[in-house]
Amino acid sequence: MKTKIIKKPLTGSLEEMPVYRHGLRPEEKNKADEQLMVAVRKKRSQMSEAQMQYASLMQLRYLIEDYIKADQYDERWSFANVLRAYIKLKYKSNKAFAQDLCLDETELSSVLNKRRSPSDKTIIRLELHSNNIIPATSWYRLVQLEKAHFFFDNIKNIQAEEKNVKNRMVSHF
Amino acid sequence: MKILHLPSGDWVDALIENAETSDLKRLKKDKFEFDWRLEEPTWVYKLRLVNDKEILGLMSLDHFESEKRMEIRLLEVSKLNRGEDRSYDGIAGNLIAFACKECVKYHGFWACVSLIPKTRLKQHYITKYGMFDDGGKHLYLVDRNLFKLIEQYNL
Repeated sequence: MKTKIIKKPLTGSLEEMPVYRHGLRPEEKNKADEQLMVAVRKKRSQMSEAQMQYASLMQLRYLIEDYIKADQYDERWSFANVLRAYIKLKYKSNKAFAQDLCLDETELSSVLNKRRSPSDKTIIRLELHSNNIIPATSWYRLVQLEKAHFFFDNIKNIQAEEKNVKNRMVSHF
Repeated sequence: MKILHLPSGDWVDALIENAETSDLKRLKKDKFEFDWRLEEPTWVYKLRLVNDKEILGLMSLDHFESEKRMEIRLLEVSKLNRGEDRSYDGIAGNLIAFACKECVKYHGFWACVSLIPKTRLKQHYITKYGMFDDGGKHLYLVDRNLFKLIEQYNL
C-alpha cells in the first residue's frame, strides 16, 4: 500500500524562509535548467557594453579585495599585472589610456614593465578613473604587498646592513 | 556586512565564511531543520556575527561552470531568526547577495545566480530580492538586479 506524503503547508511570515532542496527527478531538473538557460541567455543578450564593463570592473575589484585580504604576495596580482587587466577592460592601446589619465606614456610603460613604481598621483587618478570602484587604497596595497615581498625576500639586504647598526634598542635576555 | 538586530534596532557586524565539516556535524535539530551533513562542504557557507561563533544561517551552492551560473541548493536561517518574532533581519538576503558576489568573481558579466523556490515563496523572492521568473521552476538574478542586491547588502 502506498503511503500518502502529506506536505506541511508554509505558514506565517515569509521573512527569512528557507530555500528547500528542489526534490525534482533528474530529468525534470534538466528540463528546468534548460528552460532557465533560455531565459538567462535572453537577458544576457540585452546587456549593453557599459553594463558589461561595469560588471568586469566589479569582478576585478572583488578579486583585488580577496588578494589583499589573503595578504600573501602573488606575482599574478602585481600592480603591473592588475593595471594591465584594468586597461584591457576598456582600451585597445596603452596610449589612449595614458592620454585619458594625463600620464606620460613612457612613465606608464615603465610601470607596466616594473621598472618603476607608480607615483601617488597615478594611484589617485586610477581611483578617479574607476569612478571610485577600485579605491586608491586598494591600488596602494598592491604596491605595498609587492614591495614588502621583495624587501624581505632579499635577505642579503638585511645581512649587508648588520654592520651599520650599533647599540640596539633591546638585547636578548 | 551587517545584519539588523530587531529588538534594539542596531546594525551588527556579521561575516560569511566556508562552513567546516565539523560545523555541520555540530548543528542541532532545534536550530536547523535540514540535514546539512548531506551537502558538499566545499560549497557550504555559514553566516555568523563577527564576535560570536554561533551559526545564524547556512547556504550551499552548486556551481554550473559551463552555464556560468551558481544555484542556491539550500539556504536556511536558524529557527529563532525566522518569521515575525526573529531576532535578526537580513541573514537570508546577505547569503543570497554573497552568492551573487562569488559568482561575479568567477564569471564577471555573465554571472547568474538561481534557485528553485517553493511556489508560495516565489513572489516574496521576486519582490524582496529583485529576482526574475524564468516561467518554469527557477528564479534567477543576472546583470543589474544581481549587482543591485550586492550593493544593497553592502558586500
